[in-house]
Amino acid sequence: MRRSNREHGELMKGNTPTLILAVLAEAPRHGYAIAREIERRSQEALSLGEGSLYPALRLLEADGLVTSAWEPQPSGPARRVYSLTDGGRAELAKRTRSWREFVQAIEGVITGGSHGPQPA
Amino acid sequence: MDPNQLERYLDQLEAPLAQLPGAERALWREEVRQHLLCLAAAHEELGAEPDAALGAALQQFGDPERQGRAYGAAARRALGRRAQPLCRSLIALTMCTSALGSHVFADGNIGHFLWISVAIAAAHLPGALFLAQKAPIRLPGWALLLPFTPYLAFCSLYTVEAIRDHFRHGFFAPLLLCGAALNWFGLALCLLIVFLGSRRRDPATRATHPA
Repeated sequence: MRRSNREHGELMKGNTPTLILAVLAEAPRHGYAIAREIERRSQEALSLGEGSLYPALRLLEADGLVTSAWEPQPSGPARRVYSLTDGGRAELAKRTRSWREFVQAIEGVITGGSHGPQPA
Repeated sequence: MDPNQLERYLDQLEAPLAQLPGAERALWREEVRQHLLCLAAAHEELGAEPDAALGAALQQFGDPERQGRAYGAAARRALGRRAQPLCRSLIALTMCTSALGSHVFADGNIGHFLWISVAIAAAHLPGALFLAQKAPIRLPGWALLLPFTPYLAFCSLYTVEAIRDHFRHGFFAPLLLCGAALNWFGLALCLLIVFLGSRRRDPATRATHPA
């Protein structure tokens, strides 16, 4: 799995904010839970560098796409929990659309154009 | 689990962040501490000894100095992004005040002073509300007050004008007194809004401080 992660490293770099937004769209989470949820959803094919999560969260928060608050936990100390703002949902929709177009275009090139609309 | 090992790691992580405000560094340190403890607990669940589990967690989080530098760079970029609205509002408020203020003092008509005072207050209050909501939370309080220095100058000039008028005519003109009072009230209201807004956004006062 770590090998897969290395192979995906370059792709991950530009898409870390998208992955974070996608995970937070379901429910508010703290940093550790965000990292684990990305691993779980990708069946451990994608693994955020634990340390790279927080710079990305900081920038997303500065852009008003996520918001955070320290919340007391049932067991243990308070945790900083991140949640998506309305702006974050709109940004996620935009990034999702853009990603699907990109994948479709790459797929078209790889498969020789059989997936896209054929010229008349 | 050796708590000193964790604290040493956090110290190294925090070392490149000397330029960030202390409150921000403390909150991030606490956030990372919780993250590392969760990671260590997960390694323990998989059968690692406590010390080995913590070591694995620290290794997984990455080189502390590198992570600290990456976070510091992101925090500075974030600050820059949030400072842009402040700069725009500063320019807008300065221009607005200068234009209206110069008009008043060129005119010299007392009746106009009151109306212009109302206009200036009306121009500044939305700016104050905007700053209270959107200004960078890491800026010190005095920096948030900078956009209102032209307003302060205007209030002072207005008051001086009222006093000079008193010396010229032997009494205070009621309209000038009302205008001066209105200006000071407007300025005080703006500053109060910005002050309360900055307190509300300050994570040190807003957040439930981590135990």
